[in-house]
Amino acid sequence: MLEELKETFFEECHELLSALEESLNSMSDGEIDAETVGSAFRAIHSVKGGAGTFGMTALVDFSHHFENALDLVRSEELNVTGEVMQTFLRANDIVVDLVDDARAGGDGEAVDSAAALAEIKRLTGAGDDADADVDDLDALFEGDDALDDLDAMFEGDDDPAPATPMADGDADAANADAQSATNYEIQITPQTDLFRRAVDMSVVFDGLEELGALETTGDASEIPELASLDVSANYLRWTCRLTAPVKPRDIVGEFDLFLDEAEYKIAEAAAEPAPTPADDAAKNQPEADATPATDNGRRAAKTAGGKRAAATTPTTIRVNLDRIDRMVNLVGEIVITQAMLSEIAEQLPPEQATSVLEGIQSLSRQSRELQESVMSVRAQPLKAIFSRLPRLTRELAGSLGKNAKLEIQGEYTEVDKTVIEELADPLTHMLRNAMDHGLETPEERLAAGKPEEGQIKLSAEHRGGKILINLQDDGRGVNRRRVFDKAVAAGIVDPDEQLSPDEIDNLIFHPGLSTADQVSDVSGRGVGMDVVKRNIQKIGGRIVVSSEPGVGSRFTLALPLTLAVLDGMVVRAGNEKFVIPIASIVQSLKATAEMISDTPGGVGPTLNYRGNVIPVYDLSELLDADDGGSPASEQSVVIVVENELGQKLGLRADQIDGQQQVVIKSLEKSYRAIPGVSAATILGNGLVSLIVDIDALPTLARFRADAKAASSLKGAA
Amino acid sequence: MSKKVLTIDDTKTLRMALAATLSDAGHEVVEAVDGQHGLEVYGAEAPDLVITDLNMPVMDGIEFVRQCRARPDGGKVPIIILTTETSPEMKSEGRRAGATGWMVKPFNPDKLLSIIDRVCP
Repeated sequence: MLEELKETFFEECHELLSALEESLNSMSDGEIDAETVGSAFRAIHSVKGGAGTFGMTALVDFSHHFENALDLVRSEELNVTGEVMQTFLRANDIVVDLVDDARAGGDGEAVDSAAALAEIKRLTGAGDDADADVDDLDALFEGDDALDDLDAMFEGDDDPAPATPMADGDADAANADAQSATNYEIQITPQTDLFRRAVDMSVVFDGLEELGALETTGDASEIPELASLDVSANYLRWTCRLTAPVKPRDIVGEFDLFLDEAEYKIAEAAAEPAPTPADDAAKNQPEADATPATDNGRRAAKTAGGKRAAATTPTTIRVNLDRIDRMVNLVGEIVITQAMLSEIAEQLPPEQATSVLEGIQSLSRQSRELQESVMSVRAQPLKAIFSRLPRLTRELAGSLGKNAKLEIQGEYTEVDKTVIEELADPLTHMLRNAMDHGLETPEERLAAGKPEEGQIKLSAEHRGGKILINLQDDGRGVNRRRVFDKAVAAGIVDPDEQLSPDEIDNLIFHPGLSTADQVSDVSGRGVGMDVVKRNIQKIGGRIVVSSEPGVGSRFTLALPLTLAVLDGMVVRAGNEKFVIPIASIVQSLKATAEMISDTPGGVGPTLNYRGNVIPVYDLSELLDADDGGSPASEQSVVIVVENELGQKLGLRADQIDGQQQVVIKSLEKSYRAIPGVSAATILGNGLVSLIVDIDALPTLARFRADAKAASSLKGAA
Repeated sequence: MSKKVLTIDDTKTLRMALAATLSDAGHEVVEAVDGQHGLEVYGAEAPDLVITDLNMPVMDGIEFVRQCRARPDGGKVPIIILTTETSPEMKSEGRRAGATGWMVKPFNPDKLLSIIDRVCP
């Protein structure tokens, strides 16, 4: 149980540290307002509190000083200069390291925190006041070992957390065995708000009684005339004579819980207790006062309450990802089963089919809702990774000698957790690339008539069943000449090959092509954008770049919302069935011969679609499907789709079978990647069908055309 | 005797630790994540005792105590502040707001339970 609690703490730490970093980032952007500083303060404060519970001394010590420094900012005693900010950011790193170290079971020794700690201490002036500081920390670790207590309380029921005050008394007594009983005289002069604080003095007296022999005298002399009497105020004072083998410190311990230091005075006294009977009345008064009001209040609250359950429910729970993944898989299976059921139902006699199909229809609605809610459990805002980037921008700017500002939009766009995890590295790399290759130095920028500070915009949005992430800089753009020359030199393209500007730009994703004049430690050598592209493709996404020389570049990432299910249109081409993602479909047309023009020797068949000429690809031909021996029939259909660049293209198939949700089964895992196919699925009849990769089709078509041209040339020769 | 205890803390770890301690001792626990939420839960649950943190987002512990004391049904319920703050000034401020007791984190479970037994007989 303790381990479980610890795990929760670390998970919570993760959130707290993100919050801390985010606040620090805002601060370094100049947002030094109470809310931002307060939120940073609270985050580190909570880390410290949790670390204290588990006895992580190094983490407690460090966060304690960090917290103090932030507190000074909060109280406006410390000005946040650039230097202070650097110290905070470094301290943030150390805290992250310390948490990681603690999680790995370390004691913080492995983390080199001394320099950062010294810097922080310099800010708080803790160096001058080391003693007070140590006291503070001691207070945090209170005499008893909190860890032991926790262990004791979680392990076994043989000792069900003895609630008796005797535990304390015993300890104190044992503590004091060595010393003889001392007489104390204690003056208690509480403020008039004592009852308003719901302090019951008898509780204090009970506590004292456990220490030793106690005589209490009440003093009612301060009660004013009736006319000026405030019935809710306390006018009573007490004098206690305590004879107990304890130190003053132990008595303070009893009072400190309930009273201010100014409200009591402890003095050693001669051993002559003065007996008086007046204390009973005094003791009982607050209690008598309390009972009826409390009961009434409670009753009123209960009848008015009503939403008991809502208030008790915790707002979040943590669930192991494996369990959710299992749910996702099961939902996928349900989707397949349901598709199978509807196929069977279609074959039933009509009188039976109707009602069965109705049932299946609601099943399908429900399973879709189920699937959506399961997916939403895994969805997380992109903020989780976006929030790290401003800092990276600053650090890179520092090490590259560039000026840059990162603007973020759409950070609350939610994406499947698995996608988020795979996105962190590519995004970091893309940002590095933009900073290193994209943005010019401040001098170059000024010379080009641009503002000295470069702008990098990062945005995310949902569009058409996909997540689009754009990273745009206002730098120099891709140097097409250089890229092309390099590609030629590397043998990637032929020197006389005609490439469109976009095609040249996208060569930067080719393995082994780095365009930086000097290899820097930021972007590395040669590995870079190709790795980014591979990582993105691995999660079913796609990345393209478009750029304008001197104006900037824009990287567009298109990612699937989920990696599990897809809305698809099932079409037949030849003897095969393919699934086209509904999200990409613009329109389906009955294709007539006139609509499609196929100039021999031209670019291939084209379709005039709303005034635009778009290419038409034959699915069975392009994907090497068995065409059943018959040429494309007159009755074929053309499905107009749009890829993420906004380019439209037509896909020719023989027939549309219908629309259904399909479960994505990775081909790469079970077979191998096939160009033009993004994944496979299992249809209701149990047959495997391929999901068409719209975005890869134009490239594939060109490749096919080239191969065809080559072979026909060969044939001619 | 079993009490209904409202625990208010923005740190889940601490809420869990408190809940484990309190429920092992037979108390009923209701939770809130900040002062504002605490007031809502307070109104709905009418707890016998409140244990609240000090530094929380949205509404801090002091403000919670103040507003709770201002409620018609908030006058007589013991409110214990459980925090890492130890300065006399803060304690005094907490008490002026209406806090009954002040405990310093990390808490000693036995001590906490004995205090609960004492303030809610």
